[in-house]
Amino acid sequence: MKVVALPEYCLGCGLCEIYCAAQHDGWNGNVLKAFKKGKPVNRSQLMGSSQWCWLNTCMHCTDAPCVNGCISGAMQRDPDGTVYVDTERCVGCFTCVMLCPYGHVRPWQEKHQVIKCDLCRDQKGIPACVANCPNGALQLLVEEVDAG
Amino acid sequence: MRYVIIGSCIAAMGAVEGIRSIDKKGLITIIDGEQRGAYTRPLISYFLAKPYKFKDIRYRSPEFLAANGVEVINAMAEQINRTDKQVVLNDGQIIPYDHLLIATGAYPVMPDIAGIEKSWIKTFYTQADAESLNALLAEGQEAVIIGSGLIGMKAAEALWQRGLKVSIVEKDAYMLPRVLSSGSAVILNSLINGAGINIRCAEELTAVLPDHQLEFASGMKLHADLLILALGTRPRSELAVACGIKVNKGIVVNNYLQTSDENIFAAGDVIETRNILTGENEIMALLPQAHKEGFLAGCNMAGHKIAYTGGIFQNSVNIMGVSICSAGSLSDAAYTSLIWKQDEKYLELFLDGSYLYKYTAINLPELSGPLTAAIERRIMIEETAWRTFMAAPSLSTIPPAYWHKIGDIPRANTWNQ
Repeated sequence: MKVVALPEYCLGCGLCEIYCAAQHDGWNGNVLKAFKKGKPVNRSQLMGSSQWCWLNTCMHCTDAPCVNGCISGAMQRDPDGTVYVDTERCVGCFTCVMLCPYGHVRPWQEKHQVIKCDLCRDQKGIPACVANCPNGALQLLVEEVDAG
Repeated sequence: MRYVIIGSCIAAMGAVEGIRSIDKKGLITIIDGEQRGAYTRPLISYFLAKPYKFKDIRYRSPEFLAANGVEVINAMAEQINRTDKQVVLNDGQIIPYDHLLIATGAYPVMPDIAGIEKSWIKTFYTQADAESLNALLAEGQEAVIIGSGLIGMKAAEALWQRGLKVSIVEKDAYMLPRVLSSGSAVILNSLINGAGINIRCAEELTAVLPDHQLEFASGMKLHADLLILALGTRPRSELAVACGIKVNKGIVVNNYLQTSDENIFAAGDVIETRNILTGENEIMALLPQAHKEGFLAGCNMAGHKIAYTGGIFQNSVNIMGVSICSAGSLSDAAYTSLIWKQDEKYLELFLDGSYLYKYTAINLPELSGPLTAAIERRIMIEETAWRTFMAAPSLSTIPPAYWHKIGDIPRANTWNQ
């Protein structure tokens, strides 16, 4: 399962980042509260120039370089195939950042760890970025998962 | 099928995953000579810096081994008997195998210097090394690290965090010689020196004198309460040599991680890996590579035929708050070097025509992923596109050709350049 960005529909409005941030770290999707009371951090990042833009989402690769190369065992895959960071174990060496061909996994400087899309695995339903994209530029792609 | 793995670290865990991706039933036995379970070596420096926080540096949990039906024997392998397909252990046990994996890793290199065997002189390679250093050190002591490779740098940082006065001595002209260029070394040198670790280059340790005095080739003398030898590693290949399989600098394997004996495979720091960029076989000793090799060896031991094309040098490390990412290597060819600098950030690319061969990124980890992939996957990108990128390097300015050629990404097909 992964979120796929469709650049031809992307307006670059940034709502994906906002809802992503508010969905994590205990803010429960409460955008107003999250941004009034804290500094919520988005997982996926909007990229682009004057000609194009898209949300840089995680491909949750089957043979994921970030999982295979993680030095501490923090980067893991859950039985659904979602690649996520176990923050108890991440030491912030950035080896996964160096190994991600999509430039998706990135440093979380404040925490000396890394940050990436976890498909909102702590909540039910579709990921917040997909649910809140106003122009259908993000789609949840559900494939057969090789859990092996 | 009966699988036996000698060694219990990264390559061994990769092999368990590889075998079990194909064969759910075969017996897997791990012979753990170090008797510490599957721990992750790079984390010993984190343990040394904060022992209370990093007591547990396991790479895979005992539950992982149990779930995969792995039997672990805490003993040292002493001999491989290829005729009878058996491994003889130091406690007298004899373990039969159908397919054997040698994943014995490496030793730290010891210099040939008189007086080096002292209680205050240590290598920094195993969990036991870190524990003994932890018991030995005291705040305010003077520590000298010989070697400014990644192990030496992380040891230096850990000791500095524990309140020691730390010097690093490097015999090459600049620090981290395998990772940095002379230009990037200047930047890093000043950042590390500024943070409180003293770095001396072009100095070679020649003698250990009485009263904790160290003597160097230039005549320089340093006092050290603690001396750490971080001169790199060499493959732990005696078992392979003794049983007569082919060994050069490391164990020689074919594309399927098979040694010169078709029933014996090898992976990790003990083997020679083909450098994709130069075509030469080298000792790479990198953690991601060890896992990959172990995984593929495991798949092949279980009957698949998956080729391993080799790897590239790649490292990411944070020292004293400075991030250093680098990948690739250079041969004797002439390369175009493109440099971008801003405050404490530095990026250097080495190009040969339309191919990237190496990069060094200081405090720019977020760019390193696509750059590593551009090297490893031999992605052709015009030099002019790289020059445009280097005017203002960021993820958004990565040459569009890169995203097109990375291929398996759906969005790449949808926009025009």
